[in-house]
Amino acid sequence: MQEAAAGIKNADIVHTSDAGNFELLKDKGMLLKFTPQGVAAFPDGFKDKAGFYYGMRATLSVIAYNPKVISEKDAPKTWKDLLNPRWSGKMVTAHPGYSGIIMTHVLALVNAYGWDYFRDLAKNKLHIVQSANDPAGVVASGERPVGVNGSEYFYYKTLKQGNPLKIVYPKEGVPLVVSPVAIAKDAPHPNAAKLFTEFIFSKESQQLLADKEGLYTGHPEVTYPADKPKLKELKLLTADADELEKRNAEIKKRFTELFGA
Amino acid sequence: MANVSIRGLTKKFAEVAAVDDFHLEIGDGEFVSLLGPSGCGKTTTLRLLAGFLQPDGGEIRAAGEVISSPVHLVPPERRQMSMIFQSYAVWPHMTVAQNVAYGLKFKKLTKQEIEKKVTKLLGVVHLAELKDRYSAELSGGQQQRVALARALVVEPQILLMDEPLSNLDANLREEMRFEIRRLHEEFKITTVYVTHDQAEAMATSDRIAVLDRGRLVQVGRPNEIFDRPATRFVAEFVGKANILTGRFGGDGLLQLGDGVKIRVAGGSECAPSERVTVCLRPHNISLVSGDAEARRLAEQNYNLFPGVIRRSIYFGDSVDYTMQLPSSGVLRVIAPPTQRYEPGQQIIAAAHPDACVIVRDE
Amino acid sequence: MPASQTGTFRRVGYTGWSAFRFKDPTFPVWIGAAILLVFLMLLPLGAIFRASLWDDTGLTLNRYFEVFTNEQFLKAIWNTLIISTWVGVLAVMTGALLAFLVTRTDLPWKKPIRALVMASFVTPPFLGAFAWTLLAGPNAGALNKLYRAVTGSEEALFNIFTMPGLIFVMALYSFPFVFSMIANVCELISSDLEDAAEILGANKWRTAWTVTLPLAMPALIGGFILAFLQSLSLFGAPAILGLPAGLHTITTQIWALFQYPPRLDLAAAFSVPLLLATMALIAVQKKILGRKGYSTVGGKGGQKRLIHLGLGRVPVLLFVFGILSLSVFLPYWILLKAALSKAWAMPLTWDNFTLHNFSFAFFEYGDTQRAIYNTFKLGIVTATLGTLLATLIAYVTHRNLFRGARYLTFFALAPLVIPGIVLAVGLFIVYTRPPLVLYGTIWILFVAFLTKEMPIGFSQAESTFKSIHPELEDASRIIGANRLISLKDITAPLARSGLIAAWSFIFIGVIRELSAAILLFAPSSKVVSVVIFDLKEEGQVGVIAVLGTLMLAVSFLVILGVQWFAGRDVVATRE
Repeated sequence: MQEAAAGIKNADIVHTSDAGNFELLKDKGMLLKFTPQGVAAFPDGFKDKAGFYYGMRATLSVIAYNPKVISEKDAPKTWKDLLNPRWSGKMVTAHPGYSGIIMTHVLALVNAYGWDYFRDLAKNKLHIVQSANDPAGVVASGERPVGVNGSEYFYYKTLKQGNPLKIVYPKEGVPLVVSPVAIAKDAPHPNAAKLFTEFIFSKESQQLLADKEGLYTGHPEVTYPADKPKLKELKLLTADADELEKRNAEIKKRFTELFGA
Repeated sequence: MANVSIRGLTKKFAEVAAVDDFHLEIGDGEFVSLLGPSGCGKTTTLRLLAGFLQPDGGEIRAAGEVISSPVHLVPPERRQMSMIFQSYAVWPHMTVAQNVAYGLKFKKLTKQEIEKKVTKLLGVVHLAELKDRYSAELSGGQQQRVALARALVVEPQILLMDEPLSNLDANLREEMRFEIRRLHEEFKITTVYVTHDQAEAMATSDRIAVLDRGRLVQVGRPNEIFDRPATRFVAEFVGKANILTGRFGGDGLLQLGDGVKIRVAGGSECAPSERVTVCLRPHNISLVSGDAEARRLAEQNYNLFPGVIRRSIYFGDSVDYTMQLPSSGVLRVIAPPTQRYEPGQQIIAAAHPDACVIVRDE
Repeated sequence: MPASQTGTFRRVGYTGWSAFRFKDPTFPVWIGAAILLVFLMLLPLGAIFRASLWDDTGLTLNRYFEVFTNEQFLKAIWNTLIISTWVGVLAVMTGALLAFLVTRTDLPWKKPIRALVMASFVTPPFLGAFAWTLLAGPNAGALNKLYRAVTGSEEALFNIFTMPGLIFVMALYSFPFVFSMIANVCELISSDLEDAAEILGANKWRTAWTVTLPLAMPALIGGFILAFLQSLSLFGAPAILGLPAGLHTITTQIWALFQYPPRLDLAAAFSVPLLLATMALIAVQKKILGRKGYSTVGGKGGQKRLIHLGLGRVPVLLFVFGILSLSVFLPYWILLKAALSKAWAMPLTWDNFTLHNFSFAFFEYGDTQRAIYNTFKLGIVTATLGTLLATLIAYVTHRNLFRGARYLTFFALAPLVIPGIVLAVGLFIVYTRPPLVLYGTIWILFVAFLTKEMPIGFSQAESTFKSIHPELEDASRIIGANRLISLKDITAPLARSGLIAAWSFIFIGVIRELSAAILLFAPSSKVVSVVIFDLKEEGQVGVIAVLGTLMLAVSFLVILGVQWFAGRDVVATRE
């Protein structure tokens, strides 16, 4: 947007992890309406009804813990478990001000449990990091053995590298974060952009994302590793893109107030 | 003709005139000293001549062409001048030979020609054996000679020297004075020489310009400056002086007070009751003890000052006396060592009227 | 004329004069450098003021209002004040005490001690902070683990992720500045002054208390201000140690305002008070220390007699090395260990030893390779062009080449009052819109570093020129060389060691800079400091340790190179 204001037309394709961004861009008329083939079969959460953007990848925000420090029996299983005072000084959280994934996470939980949830969570003196990938390192090092949120794909990757991590997919519901992609209206190379978009949503590309990055996709034919639950097995908490955009400032403000920074 | 004409030269630093309406004509091949106490503007004038400073008023011409004025400034590198500095300014990262050769780079000469000239000049200043040394290995005197060689090898039209001998010790200074004069006689380059040491100025110069607080006070040959100082300042600055003040009576004699009257050079032309200042040099006074001698001198119109020796300092080649005059004034006398008098002794000092010079009280 | 000399000296006609009626042709060079400097400094500052005061409706104080009524922001300001004050006090106590011990007592091993202080000086605070998270993270920190193993306690000995922890680490890397300043002053205090006290009956400690201390007081206050200012501008350490504990400082808050959606206007409004406070403090410091920037204590630094410590030597030595182990030994050890281990938390046994971290960082990981390349490129280019610009400007101001040239000094030193992150805000605003869009390229980092390091380059060049007698240059000018040629042939060679020092100071400053880079980098223009910061939480301890070790190694090599090559003592204290 900075660049658009400057009259710079650099970008062909826009991709972020925060769907709210796309509502904003759509409203400002900066996106091109384009529907790639094969997207019809994608679940609703991956499609913009107006046809301007589509979910390229998705991940979940999950709980994680360090099995070297915490036994499976003691580990937290639900979001509400995290409020237990025994975890005081032992948890780490990422921050919605720095991460679109966490922004979705917080909105989803606020809708489910209200702000009181986070007020009580804050009593456990959490260690604060910024991006959704950050908690993985903190948990794996044992510095804070429980991560109350975080991007599932990164936890998964870290775990696969041999680090001590176990992921918990709470039964009450797991926030689903869909990361869209769209073509800029004033793209310097519109045809290339369209081709590229088609390519992104092809089965091969989507399978690559699932295999290499541990991501979820909307493509119905993509297969996932056996040690990850399938999306349909989980109760998914979704966040409306519009709501994400409108409540962005409020969420950041209240989270910061509760946690200090 | 490498003559220099300075007209109305003025330079101000923060509203204070360091050089004020300075006029001086320097002839081709002439050696002129700018003499004065520190802060009198002599170095500023030299730097104006060199082109490091631009005048606020007046102009400087060389060979009739304007080289400095408030609106026009020929940069130093184009003035065909050379300069010698108080700090020698020998470049420490170059050898003696390289220092001397540097200026020749800009003259489009071949390497051999440069080498020839450098060798010649080093011979002239007696530094040939030291040509590969660095300045850190040289004494002050040797460094100054490097500076001289460097300045002369480029065959400048005008040579500027800024107190070149101040940093040398006394013996070396004397030796170098003569060296500088000798080089001048040999090369006959128009030279402007700045110093605060009057002996130096006298030994080296064709003419001396005395400066005080930015203004030219007197210019003339050394003996003119010394024997006939124009002002009290010049009298006291150039050589030692006794300053007497008095009023003219109608008889052409100067009344100093307490009835002492003296004859002064040019006194008969002065109006009565005019207040004047007179300069009398200690060297020009002789001491007599006998009445007979005193009377003989009085007949030759010598001025006589009776008094008492207060202090005597023996210097070997002279004796410096301070005499107490009855009118509560003192007189300083420098006499040859053959005449020895003791403090407390009654004595008469005698001076010829020609040695009593009227000066302006400035 | 003697016949033998006739050939040497020929009369030259005076026709040459009239052709040269023009001004000094080297003039454009100086004017160009001056204009460049002014632009470099004014653009970002101007942008900040404008962004904070203007919006779509015109001149407004809204942003300031918003900043000063926001509880979060006020808390950040308050935190910053508390932290900076404590850091100042601790840095002065430590720095002054060490400086006193090293200059006025017969403490042994002074050279190693000075070298270690220098090492603390060279360590970027954010790297020190990172090392300390490995040492004193409450759960995984090495020291805390040791404590628990030894005492059987469940608690941590020291949690570094707290305000005291942050203050501690920031003080560790600020005290070397105060040390330098105080050591210089102590050198100047002549023993005569103290002898006078002793003759009158005071013992050595009382003398120290009643004579030395008051004389050094201006320097102590000056040192406090220096450390205070330093900690106002730090970004890395507060971000690494404070944010996890929910503590914002002004710098981290400004950084937070750059996250989506960026509020540049608020960041600008927040920056202005920081800027004004810094200016005010520097003005106060100048007043206290006088124009020379160090206190004149009277006496020409005559004979110094040292206080004998006697048996006290051993405990004092232990104390001194204790402090230095906190800033140097422990952090360096843990970094080296992490760089060479597969699992940094485990002891460094042969099993655990690996060079994989190094090969990974240098040869396999694209991000680090690119960052290392960028960092060196920026370091070399900035240092070279910066030294050149600083030299030209120092020449202009030293020789007062044109009216008002001395005022350029103000511009050259202006960045001292601008905290790095504030500078970045300004540059961001200026260079993300036409006519010159540098954002996203490595060149915006270049501009930021050039601006930020100008003061140290300039003051080094200036003091170098001051040490060269102006008559050396006049001598070459009068003999035929114009200003530029004189600069090249005479001044530059003589200034060589000073300018090499300037180059290295700028180079080292650039490679460790974080607070400006963190706002201005783009994925293709990341530098090592940013990568270290980014990776800190991802559990890439090995890679971070390798990069940190590289940064320290290069800095030390450059300093040693300068000291050996130019033969000068870079810490600017004399033995």
